[in-house]
Amino acid sequence: MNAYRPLFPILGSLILMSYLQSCKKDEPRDIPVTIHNVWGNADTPLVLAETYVNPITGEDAKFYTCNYYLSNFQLKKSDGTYWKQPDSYHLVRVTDSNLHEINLAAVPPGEYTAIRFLVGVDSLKNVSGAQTGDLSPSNNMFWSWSTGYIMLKLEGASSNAPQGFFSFHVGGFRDADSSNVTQWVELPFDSKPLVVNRKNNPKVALNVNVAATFTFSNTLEKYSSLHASGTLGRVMAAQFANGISVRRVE
Amino acid sequence: MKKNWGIFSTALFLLSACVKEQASPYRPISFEIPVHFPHPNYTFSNNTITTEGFELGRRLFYDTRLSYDNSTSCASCHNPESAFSDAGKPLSTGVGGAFGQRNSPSLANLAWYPYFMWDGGVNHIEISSLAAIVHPAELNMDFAALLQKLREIPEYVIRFEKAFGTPEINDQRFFYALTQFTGLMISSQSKYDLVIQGKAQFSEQEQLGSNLFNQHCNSCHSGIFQTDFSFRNNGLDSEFLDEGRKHITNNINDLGKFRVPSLRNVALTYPYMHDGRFNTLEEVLLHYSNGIQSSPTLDPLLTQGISLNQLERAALIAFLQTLSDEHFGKDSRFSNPF
Repeated sequence: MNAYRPLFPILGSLILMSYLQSCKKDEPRDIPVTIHNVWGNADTPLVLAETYVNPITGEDAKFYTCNYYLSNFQLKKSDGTYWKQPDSYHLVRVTDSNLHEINLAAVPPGEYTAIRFLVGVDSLKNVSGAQTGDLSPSNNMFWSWSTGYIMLKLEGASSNAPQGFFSFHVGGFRDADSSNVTQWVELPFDSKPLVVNRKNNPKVALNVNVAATFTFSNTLEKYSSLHASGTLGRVMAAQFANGISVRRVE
Repeated sequence: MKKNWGIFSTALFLLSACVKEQASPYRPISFEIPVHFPHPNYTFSNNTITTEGFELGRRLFYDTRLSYDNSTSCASCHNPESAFSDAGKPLSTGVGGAFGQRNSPSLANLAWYPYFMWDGGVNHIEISSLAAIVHPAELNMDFAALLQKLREIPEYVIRFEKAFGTPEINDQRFFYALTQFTGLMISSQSKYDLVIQGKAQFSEQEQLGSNLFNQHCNSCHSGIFQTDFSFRNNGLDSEFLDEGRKHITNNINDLGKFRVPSLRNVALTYPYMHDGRFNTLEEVLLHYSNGIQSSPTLDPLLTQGISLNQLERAALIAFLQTLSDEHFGKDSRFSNPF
């Protein structure tokens, strides 16, 4: 024991040095992505049971359900490669709040120039059997009769709909029979990159403008119901994805 | 003394042999692929079979509390006595006596199925029970409400904990347990199975039927399960109340097409076709002989029908009866635990 005593100070300083080293090094950070569900481009918060007027069609709409999936979140590095969130499946539900937070956990330090994600659930998870959490069938975002996740569920009332209400279940994931509604979205951080280091508190906010789903060609007067995959679903999915934009990067 | 011991031990041996013979042959709770079966589609790779998981699945399968009004269980339409089908009923019967739209199929060898339901709408064994649970004319149960119902039954809380380590009851655990039960329902001990393994022989009539089957039927009813798992219009109608596969694919070329069903235990699983319109195998064969209805999606193999005389029909039926597996419905592992 005594023979090793002279080594103690050396060992001690080694430990101290490595500790200091680790302090200097940037650690991965959790990055909150706040989803702001809005109506139109004027940043009107979208909540349930309020009546909104579509700025394009002039039709009114009051939502009882507005749920959708975002999955496979990625952040684009300055070198063009992507950091990918593992097991990244997020069910967003509009409630009496229009905000929903998605946490991107343990993002490595660095500079990121864009955010990328899939609107909907990728085909692999649609063919992989029983899931849990946000992908649980009990969330009622799943077709039991024709297996697959509902990408976007919009239900509510409108005086323009022939029967006074509307119900859209947009889903489908197969390329083989052209039923795939999922949409990749990549949004560049135009104003400034997302910098992840130990000094700042990086965060991202996205706008999801649900009004974009309804346009002149796709009015509630003309279409008020959809419960299967098909052309209307693909059109609505594309328009919904178009309504997503970067609100803020900090 | 020595002599007495000899008699005693002989008696003991006989007794134990007797006991052994009387008890139903013990078959372990494990996924055993019959030697003459191909590689299965589902191998439980992410859903490890345990006795506790299997027993939980067995209870869920037979528990009428899975339905909205506690009247109906999976076994109500998938009865072990008819190879887990609904013998005698053309259409499935759910809560409040409501009729479903289609005939309840036999549940056997599901781990080999590439898809489920008459229209192939369900793509995975683990979630194959969901459609029946939530359908208004079947168990009519909101799935979230069902999980909540189970969470309030102490026995299930204990059984889920035994099966999965913690008492949490969630979607995935529910489906995993039920799949451990239904996925083990393997029917592989019919006379047909013995014959193809060289352990038995067809009678003359059965052999004639087998030859006719290979000549006329097995381009669709092919392989060890007597199905190529394709979707075909077998000429039941010229107009379609039930659009079949088209309901899933939106493809007009799939109108009136349904899956080619496995014929295992076919003699036990009457009535026949997706809507149970034929009561007997004889009626089915008469349909193929002279009942084929023409339509744009009619299977090309059936445009001329399949001409069969009475002798041939009887032989085919004798062959189809060799597909009945008497051990299957009597396997104590799959019996009602309540």
